Amino acid sequence: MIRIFYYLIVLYLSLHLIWHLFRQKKLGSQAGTALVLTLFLLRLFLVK
Amino acid sequence: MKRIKGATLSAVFSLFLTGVLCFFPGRSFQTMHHPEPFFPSAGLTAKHWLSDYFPPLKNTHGDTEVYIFRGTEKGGNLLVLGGTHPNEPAGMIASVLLVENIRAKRGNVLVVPRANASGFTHSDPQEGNPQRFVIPTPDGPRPFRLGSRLTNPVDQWPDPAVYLNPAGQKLSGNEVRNLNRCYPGRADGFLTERIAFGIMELIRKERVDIGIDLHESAPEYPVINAIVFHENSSELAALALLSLQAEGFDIRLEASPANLRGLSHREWGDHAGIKAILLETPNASHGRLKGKPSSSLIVDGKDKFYTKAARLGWLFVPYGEEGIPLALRVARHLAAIEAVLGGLAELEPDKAVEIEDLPAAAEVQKRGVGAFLHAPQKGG
Repeated sequence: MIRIFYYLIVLYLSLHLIWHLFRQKKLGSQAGTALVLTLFLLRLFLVK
Repeated sequence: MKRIKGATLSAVFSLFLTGVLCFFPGRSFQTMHHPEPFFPSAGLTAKHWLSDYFPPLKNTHGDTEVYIFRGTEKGGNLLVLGGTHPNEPAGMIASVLLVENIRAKRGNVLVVPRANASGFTHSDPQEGNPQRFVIPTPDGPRPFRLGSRLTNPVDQWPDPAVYLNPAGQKLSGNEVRNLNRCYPGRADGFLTERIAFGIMELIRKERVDIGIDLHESAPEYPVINAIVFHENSSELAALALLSLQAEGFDIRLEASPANLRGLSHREWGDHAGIKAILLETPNASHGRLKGKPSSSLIVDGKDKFYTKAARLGWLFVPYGEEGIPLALRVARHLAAIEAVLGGLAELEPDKAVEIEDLPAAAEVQKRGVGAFLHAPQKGG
């Protein structure tokens, strides 16, 4: 059960970051968001 | 058709890049969940799983292989455990050498190379350890997983602030994932406690007479190059010591403290009544003073910082520039197993265990560990 909560939290934050990525106009900001998103997606798949 | 704006295009590209960045480490990470194959010798009579002795472990990452070599002559039952701590490679490799080479002549030999299978599926955080170490064999390099001392938190989480183990000892919270603090285990406890309980069930159901738990420790740790013994095995350990010293191995005896609970050398003896022995060899990759962790540090055992620490008198073992290679550490384990069995035959002839084709310690040191390992799997 706790694992499902964990997945849902990380999934929510990942989707939020993807939404944020498409709102950025500057390439540098997009690259920064993509880097943070990478860590969240790795977490989503239980990759440390 | 509406034109895609430049910012949207670059966002799509960033997302694609994110996918690429996730794919490669993700794939590499997932391989940690695929245990490398072992290739048992022709002397293997059965391969069981720990869940055959304790069914609740089935389909968990705590389940692990039990290799059984049954002798043609009646004798005792020996259990050898490797991989209790998956970051102590000599223990696991010594047990793999048993699996891939031996034949039981008298009595039965049970080998568990990955006692804490879950610990092999992750690495210690912040250590920078390699995922694998590679042993050269005549047919090419053969990789083995280097795991963590503790059960994977993905399989057992969270840790309590203070851990009260099944033997009644209070320990720091993360020891709840240390297999060698969880004996005699709990049937309905945490995963690591259930693994410990499964091993106790294996001991009881196979009527094990003597158990040997293979470990390694840091060169600056006092219990090193040692035979740790339960008090019911003191004579046996003393005989093994004499035999090993006659072979030229510098080794010491350490009595299992009666007030240090939850460890194999204590609880196997107290709760199952078997002769319990734990063996330690020195491993630089395990210590705090090492340089960069790498596969070669594990296999060749050379580390200039440990050499310097030895010169300064900070270590409990000599550590020259030649290092302490895996071949020597594995040879020590194998020689100790042979010495313990020699002592057992002398003290309790009806429980003697005779093993054929056990790699000789001198040969392992001379030819390397790889000479006694099966060829690596093609494409693996």
